[in-house]
Amino acid sequence: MMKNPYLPQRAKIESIRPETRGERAIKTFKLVLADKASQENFVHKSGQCAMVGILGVGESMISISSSPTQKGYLEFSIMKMGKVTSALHNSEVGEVLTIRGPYGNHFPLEEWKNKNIITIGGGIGQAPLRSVINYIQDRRKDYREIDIIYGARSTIDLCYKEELFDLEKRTDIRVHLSIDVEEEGWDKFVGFVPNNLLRIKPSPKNSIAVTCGPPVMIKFVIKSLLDLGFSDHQIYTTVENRMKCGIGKCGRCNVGSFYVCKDGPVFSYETLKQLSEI
Amino acid sequence: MEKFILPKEKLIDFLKALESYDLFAPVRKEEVTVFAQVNKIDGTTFDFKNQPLTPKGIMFPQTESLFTFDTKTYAMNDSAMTPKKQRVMFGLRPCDARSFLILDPVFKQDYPDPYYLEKRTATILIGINCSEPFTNCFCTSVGGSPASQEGLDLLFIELPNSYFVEVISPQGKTIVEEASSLLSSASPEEEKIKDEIVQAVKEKIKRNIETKHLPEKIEKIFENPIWKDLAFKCIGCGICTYTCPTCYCFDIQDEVLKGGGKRQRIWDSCMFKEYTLHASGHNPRPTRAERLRNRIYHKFKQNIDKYGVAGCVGCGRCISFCPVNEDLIENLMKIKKL
Amino acid sequence: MNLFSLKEAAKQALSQTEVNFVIGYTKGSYGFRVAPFFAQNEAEVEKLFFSPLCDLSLVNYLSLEKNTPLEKFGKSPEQKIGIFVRGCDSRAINQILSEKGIIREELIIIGIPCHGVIDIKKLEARFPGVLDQARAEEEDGKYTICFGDKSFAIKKEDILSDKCKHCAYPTPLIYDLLIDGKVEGKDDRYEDIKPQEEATLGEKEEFWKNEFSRCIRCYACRNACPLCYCENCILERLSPQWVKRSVNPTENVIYHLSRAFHLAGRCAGCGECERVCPVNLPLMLLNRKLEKDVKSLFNFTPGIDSEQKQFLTTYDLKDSEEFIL
Repeated sequence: MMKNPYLPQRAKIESIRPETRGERAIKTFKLVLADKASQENFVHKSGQCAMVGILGVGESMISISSSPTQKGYLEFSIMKMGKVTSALHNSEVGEVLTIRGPYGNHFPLEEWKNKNIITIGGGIGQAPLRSVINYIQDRRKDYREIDIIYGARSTIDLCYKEELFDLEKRTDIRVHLSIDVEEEGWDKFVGFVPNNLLRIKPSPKNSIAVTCGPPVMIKFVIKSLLDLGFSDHQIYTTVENRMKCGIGKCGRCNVGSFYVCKDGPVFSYETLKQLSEI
Repeated sequence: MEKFILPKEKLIDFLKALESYDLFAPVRKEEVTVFAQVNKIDGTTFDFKNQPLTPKGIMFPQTESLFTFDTKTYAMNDSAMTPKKQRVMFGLRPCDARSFLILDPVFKQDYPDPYYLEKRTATILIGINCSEPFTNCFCTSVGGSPASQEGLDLLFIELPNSYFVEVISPQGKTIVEEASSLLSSASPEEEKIKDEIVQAVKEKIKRNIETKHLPEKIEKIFENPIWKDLAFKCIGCGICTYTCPTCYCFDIQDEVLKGGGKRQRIWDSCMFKEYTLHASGHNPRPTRAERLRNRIYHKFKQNIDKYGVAGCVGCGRCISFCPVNEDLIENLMKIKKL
Repeated sequence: MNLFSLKEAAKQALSQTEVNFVIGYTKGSYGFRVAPFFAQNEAEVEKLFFSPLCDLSLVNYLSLEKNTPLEKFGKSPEQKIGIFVRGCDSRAINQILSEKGIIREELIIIGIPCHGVIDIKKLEARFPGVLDQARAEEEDGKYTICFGDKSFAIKKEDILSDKCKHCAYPTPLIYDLLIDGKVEGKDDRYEDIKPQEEATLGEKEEFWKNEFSRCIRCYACRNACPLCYCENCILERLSPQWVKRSVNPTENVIYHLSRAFHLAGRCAGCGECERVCPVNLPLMLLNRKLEKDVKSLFNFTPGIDSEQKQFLTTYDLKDSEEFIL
């Protein structure tokens, strides 16, 4: 009997951490696969995604925001947007969800060894970057200078606040947080993420820049990176599209000749430039 | 390749000889010809000449239950996907048979799709040649022909009083052996008549288009405003995709009833506005122009890049069924002229 | 059919600065087909025409251009659109206007009194494989069909569209310009639905079960209908999901009956739904029956007046029922 790629696995919600509030709230779910052996054998790489779902409602492709070095569980940061994500937000600890995956390609962290890494995130875009950051923390000696640039509309919209404030205290990682609009008690940078990037002026020498966030932000960040002297193959980003099957069959997520679920979501700017439909 | 002759009056006996298989054939149902399972051969009106809806529905049904589930226990059951009997599909047009060349790699690659593949491997395909092309046929422009063997296990070619049977694969041979009492060996004279008939039909195909440099052209003019000109007539009804033998876009939806449910796979269309609509409200293909461009790009560039063959078999259904006369051949000609 | 005055009307509409294009008909790419055409200037107006082959409704483009305009035609949807309408089309426009779906000031309506259009499927069945662009003319109850070097005379009722056989409003009821003289409507006795009305419940069930078994839920009927323009169509909503997308007898019946009821008292009788259906479902039977019922129960005919109030949303103190139900 052929393996059925549409059949998901069961996973239990071990914990839920609210990250932001509001209409498009974000929550981080810690899921553990019901089948212990499956959880141990679930191997993923930073940047990959999985189809998280509820039987009777549907599935949604979410990037895995925990690093492969974090064993025994999977973390997903999910923004409440549509039918499936709203139902996920209504779930409670102990309830059962379904997972299919991991799908897609990944950030080439092996190739990036001994380089400086700059992550530039906005809003929920920090989720796939968190998998990279957590991996780098567990393999710190393999990488050079690390800069984490992250911003959101306001302090209420910042994801992973506690984790990032903790990272700020480290001396071997630089964290540059920002919010779009002035707020009482905020003493860090106020402005859009691309502007923060231009203010920090990271050097392109032996560096890789990875960016995720709203499409508008990515556009300006890439432009700023190019202005700072980064070349096309030094810039990486993730692409999002509506997905249903997750395995490159239903045709929905295709961009140019690629399927985002299968050939993405990670693309270097070099490849992205050639895609007709971006 | 083995060749046989089946007298025309013995066709029904031939179909009856295949009783150990589930038989699918084009049958006439209230003025419309559909591909359906034939349970009783006597009394069924077969229609091999007309233009049925595509046979892809036999491998890839409009609605298919991927698995059933219980929302309380989270038990999931996918045992219903395997066909219980071997199947024979009789009366395919050669262009529709070629469509499987385009559908097979999609469902085989990366994560093999058991729903499609189990039905596909369990089905023997018997085609019938076209004796008269339809108004909008252009199979010869995309690598096909009215008597193409590609994708088939057996091919019947209609002679004045009999069928010339070509055995193409080992599965075809097993069928021939099961009906061997009805068949006789084909003579060289009969083969010559067959060749003449096939050639004559090819010459009757009036619509043609040279597709050689089309993929590069389509890539080159991706941002050109001509797509708006081509798409203004389109009303986004989706008929072209639903009647196309090679279209395979689908949607997955959960249906729940009283604590139990099914995850259904259903046909979808890239020509619908909601197809790429994100939950955030953003739509990367907001107008008919982008959707039409995507369809042509997919069929005539992307498919060739990925699988070496155009994603179109030249059956002409999209042209015949389009309510507003969006003519694929006319559109491709305009693209070539640019 | 005075082609000259047709083109002059289109040119007159285009001469107004706010009018970006006129939607009309042009010869199709093969055989008996006719295609919609958006004429933007005087040169393009020459491509417009009208003949008994013009069997499609153009009203759909009004909501299409409003919702997702192709930028080729000017940025703002407030700019005016010229459109050719037949009798049934004008009723569709009237109905949409009365529902405030479009604004009267955005339209330049060029009315064509219609003598009936040909059912292209019947012609293609009679003359299969015709590729040469065909012409059709009507005179004295006969159609003369020409293609290639051949010419045929066919009795009008043999190939006339079924919807035209009982059309009571062939002359547009709303227009800015009217081409040609008015055409008398027919006395519609709803003879076409009598067999269905007189069938027993068992016979009706058998009939519709058979018909709906062919439906592949391609949604073409809804997409082609000029009056189905709801942004959030009940038939495709996901939360909540009223009609499932899967094809089975129950869902198919619910889909079609829901759509028919949503069109009750709104359907203009253009017959597009039946014309576009790839599996030949007799959808107009449903719409016609509801049309008749609405007429006899509420004395209401849709699309007569662009200001008329809808029968379902008005209440008269003299109504026989005491409550809305």
